[in-house]
Amino acid sequence: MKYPLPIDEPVADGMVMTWAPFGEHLGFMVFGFNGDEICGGMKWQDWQVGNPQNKSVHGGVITALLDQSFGAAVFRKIKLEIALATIELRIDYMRPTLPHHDIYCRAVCYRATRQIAFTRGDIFQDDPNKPIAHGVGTFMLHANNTQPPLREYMLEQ
Amino acid sequence: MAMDTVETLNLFLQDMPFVRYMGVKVLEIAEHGLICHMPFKKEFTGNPNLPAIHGGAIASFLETSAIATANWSASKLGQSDVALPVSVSFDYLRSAATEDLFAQTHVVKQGSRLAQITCTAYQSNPSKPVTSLHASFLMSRNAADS
Repeated sequence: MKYPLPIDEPVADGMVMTWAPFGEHLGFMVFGFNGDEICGGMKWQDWQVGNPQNKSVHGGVITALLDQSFGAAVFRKIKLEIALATIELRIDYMRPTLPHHDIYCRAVCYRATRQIAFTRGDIFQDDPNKPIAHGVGTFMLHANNTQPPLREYMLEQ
Repeated sequence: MAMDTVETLNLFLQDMPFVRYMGVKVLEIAEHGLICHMPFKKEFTGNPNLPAIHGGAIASFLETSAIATANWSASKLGQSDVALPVSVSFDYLRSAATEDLFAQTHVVKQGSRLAQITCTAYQSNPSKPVTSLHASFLMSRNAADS
């Protein structure tokens, strides 16, 4: 998989987002960062198809990738190891995914307050100008007393 | 295919590879919607320390429940369209324990071109919802336009 846009701070060979079992199981990857923006994605996999007619990936997979990338973008922005909870997610599906083409995601936390973080991002395949989906997410910071098992590279400057 | 029984709805869902993996099933047809179920699997975990189900796994479950509901509702009106999701909006109300999920769905509006569906996910206590979904579907006469 090659992220189709330039990346300022690449993560070597892409790293699987292992901190959440669901994301790891679906194969979510981080390729690097452009400032606060996180560049991620996943391989196209036939078991994730939701529409057997056009073989597009199930909307739930797209939503899960955005949710997890939004969470990662919040950590990238605030650089604190705290628990996050999604409060709200809104996704627009603009076109179905094409089969056998890998799926990419970029997400950014564009505002974080002491308690709330606001994120936005999109999903595309070969061409970032032909978005598959666009989403916004709102997160609660310090959601509970647990610590997420973050990777160090998420917290590096 | 008419989708007016629990069996035909489940056959429709079983055609979707990702739904087979998630294990989502329709349990019951109610007056204005469906009751759906997703048994817990370890891989659905989002925060292993809490532990809690991943928001994306709950979203996949609710969106699948909404797809079944939109197709059921169209079929009830004799429409042979396929419901394609356009926009989905989730409210996460409380964290979901690492247990089975249920959803109660509701057809807010079924039109000839659009359907609007709401779904509420809960676990052991139906009066403590974990996540709600509002989804808009485009009713497509021809699955090829999707």
